Amino acid sequence: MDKPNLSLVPIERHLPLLISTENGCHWFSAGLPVEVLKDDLWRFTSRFYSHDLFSPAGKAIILDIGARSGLFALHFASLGGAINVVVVEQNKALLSALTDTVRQSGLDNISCFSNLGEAGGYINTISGAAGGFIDLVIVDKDEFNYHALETLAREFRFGHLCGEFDMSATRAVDLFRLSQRAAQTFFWRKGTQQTPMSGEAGTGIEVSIVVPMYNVEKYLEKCLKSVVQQTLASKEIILVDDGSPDASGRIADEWAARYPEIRVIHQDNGGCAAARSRGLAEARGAYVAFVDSDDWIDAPMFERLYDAAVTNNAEVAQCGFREVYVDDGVSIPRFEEFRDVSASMDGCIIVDVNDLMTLQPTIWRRIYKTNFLRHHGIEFPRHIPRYDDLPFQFEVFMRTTRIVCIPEIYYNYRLGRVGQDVMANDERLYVHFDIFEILRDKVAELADAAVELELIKVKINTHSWGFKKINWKLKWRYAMWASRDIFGRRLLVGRWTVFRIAWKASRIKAVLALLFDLLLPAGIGKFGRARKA
Amino acid sequence: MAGKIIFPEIIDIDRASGSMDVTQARKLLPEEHTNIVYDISLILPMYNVAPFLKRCLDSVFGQQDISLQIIIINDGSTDESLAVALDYCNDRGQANVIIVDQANRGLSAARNLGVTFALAEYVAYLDTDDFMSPNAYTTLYRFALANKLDVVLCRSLVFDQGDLSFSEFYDAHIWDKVLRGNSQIITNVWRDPDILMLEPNANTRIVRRSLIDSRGLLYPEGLHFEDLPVHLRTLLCTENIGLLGARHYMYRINRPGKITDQKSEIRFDILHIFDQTMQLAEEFEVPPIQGVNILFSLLRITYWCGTQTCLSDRYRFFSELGKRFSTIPGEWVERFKLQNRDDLRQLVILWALRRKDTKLLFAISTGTRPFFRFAYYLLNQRRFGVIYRQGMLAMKHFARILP
Repeated sequence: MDKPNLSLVPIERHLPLLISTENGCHWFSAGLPVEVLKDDLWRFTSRFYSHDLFSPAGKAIILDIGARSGLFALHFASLGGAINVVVVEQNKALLSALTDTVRQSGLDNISCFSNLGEAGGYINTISGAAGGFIDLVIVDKDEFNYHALETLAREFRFGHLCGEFDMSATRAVDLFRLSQRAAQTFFWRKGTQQTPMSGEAGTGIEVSIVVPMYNVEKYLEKCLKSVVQQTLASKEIILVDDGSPDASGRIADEWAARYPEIRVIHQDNGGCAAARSRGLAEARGAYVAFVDSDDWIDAPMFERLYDAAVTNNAEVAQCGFREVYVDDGVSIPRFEEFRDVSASMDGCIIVDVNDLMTLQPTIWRRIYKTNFLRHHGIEFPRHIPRYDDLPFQFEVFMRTTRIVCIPEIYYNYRLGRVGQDVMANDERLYVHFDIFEILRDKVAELADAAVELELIKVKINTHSWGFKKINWKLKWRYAMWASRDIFGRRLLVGRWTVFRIAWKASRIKAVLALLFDLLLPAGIGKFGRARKA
Repeated sequence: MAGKIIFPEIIDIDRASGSMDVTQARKLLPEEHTNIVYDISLILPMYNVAPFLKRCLDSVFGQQDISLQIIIINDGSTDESLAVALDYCNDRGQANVIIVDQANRGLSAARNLGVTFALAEYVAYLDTDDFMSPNAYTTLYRFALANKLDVVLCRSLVFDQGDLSFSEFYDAHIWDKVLRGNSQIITNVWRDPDILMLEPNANTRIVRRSLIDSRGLLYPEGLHFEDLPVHLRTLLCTENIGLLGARHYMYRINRPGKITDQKSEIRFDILHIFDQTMQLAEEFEVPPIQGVNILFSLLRITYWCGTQTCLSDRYRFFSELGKRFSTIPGEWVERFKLQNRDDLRQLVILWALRRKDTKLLFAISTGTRPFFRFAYYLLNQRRFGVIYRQGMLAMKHFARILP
């Protein structure tokens, strides 16, 4: 048997417990179970609720719902200054121990209540001129009640709102919205889950949906209808008309007149990247999404993505998509199966970003945190006329630390339409060399071999696809340039490692590409041979 | 020199002359400011921190039962930091605050300028994007006063701006080791040489003013990573150091535009810091039992700087660093091997630095696997004097980095 910790065990039944925290010693009633105290002490020292975000600058009111041992209450009450601590504890046994503890402490600025209603009334009387502001609210898991909190939020504003709740007690996203409305900062622990749900006050738009469009009058109606019908309430829709010569611009204006959440931006033709960049610059939402104007989406898409993103503190959230071949009337569902995942109770999957880097560019099935994109300066390269989603996606995955996936399929990707970029088979495919040149500089900045390895995998995939696609007149040149791009423009990864990866993709192509790179003169290839790092 | 005295007005330092001496500085201070008796002079250097300033000032103004002299040094901020600070202080209208405005001359210069205005027995620094816990300075000051301590250090926590969570600082295990379960101890480098391994952050402590003056504990101006030599000198030159186990200092990470996040030429400043540190060790005739901990701090910070340089500079950085590391006394290194027996990564990095093997360092820092280099070392382990088992394990460790 372990030796008992003497400071936590009462020597006699009537002696109080003594415990020392960082800011002094406190006596606790003998009626208090030691386990509760130990648990509270751990919560305190590990900043389980991030309570240090609140700082009592002089006058303050603190509400502790489910105070249990009262450790937090004693800590704040003994800080000095004009601090009032209001404590609510529904458990009868704990409450009597708590009142005992408070009486022993000799602090007169703690008041104990058995229910929230009385406590609210008391706060109203003491706050007076303070105007219904509670500086800090801590909510324990056992006493978490969404409706009680909602009632409280109607009456008061909060400084820092924190605590723990069970996912069975309420929907996390409802609590997120409530906290965003009522508190300056908030921090919630979610039962057994590691990741907290936190944020700052904000009443702005939740998702900005950017729809770039160019000559899509036939498809636009269907797309706009599906975007407008989204179940997410707080959204803005930014239509960027990239100088379409057809009726697209006019249709967009008509829709904007009908729906106030739609904004239309007309600009001179500058390519898809320019249109998306413009939309991104104009976005005011916390998250931003890009929907192509010839595709359509299912109604719950952005609600579910936003839900998953905010409750898991993610920078990116993604769902599955469907490839719809309209000409043939076939649709193929596409989604990823993830190994080594931590599935949470709300059905979201937090994945390792490295698994996603080699995915085919599908930027339209995700939402991105706007601040994250702006902080890292992630944009669509304007001088790249097409396939601008490839560098965007790679850069996002390169920088993000937290991405959440939901397995449902919400996005319908239209294929089999003549004139779509995917079908190009001429010099337009050379644009990939420019794209990889941009990405090469970004990867060099990061200086991480694991990321460069992913870039090389993307290069191999893209170039073999391009080689297959391009017409026979250009095949020879494309093969030479691609070989040089894959083997000659390396930064950190060795030639042998690249060869092994290429070998897995295609043996014959790997050998030929390596030979090309070794035998061809240095000047061959769009950007020549690699410069030394 | 434009100097205006009453509080809401800013004291404007002559931008040409820059620094000033203490008597000059005292003359500038308003009388109602100098009349107060202060416990601690708190120096807040401020550079482009407008979004975080309020949180910092809240934590400073909320300190109870202590008389703080608050010296805010605006280091030529280009955002609205100065306006935010002025508004905040004007709202409170306390006479114990002064704001000093200088052209941008760097963090070290701002801290040193703050010291010339300091009136109290103890001096503390606080970067204005970070913050302290409630009554941190009260606790620090009481501990210092009761035991007549020259320096008191407290523990810190990392505050993640991304998800607003707090976590332990990386030096937590060193604190645990030194405190041995106590909540506070009084010690020095002879009793606990391990304290030389603590994070050299200037914000986690209060220091006696007379110690700063007599031992020249000012920050080297114009250099980055300036904390380390001053930290070591502070610890080496006094016999009574208080360590407070409470986590009082909150270090903010993941905020946009932090100096330590940018990769550039400033990493080379660490080489000068290295030289200064070694001079310091010579000056104090540091024995190996302390030197090994200095070596630990140096290795950690210099290697980290190396991983932050851009690729084109990295070979140059590591070769410069290797030259310096090969001058480190052999006894320190032997002791280091014994103390860090389990930390293979550290061992290999130190070994590569002493061998000036820039290619290996480059590979380790970028996560590549130089197959032939590893094979070469594995074949020649005995010749290179690496302990056989350790060498094997280390090589295996790095070989696992890539599939």
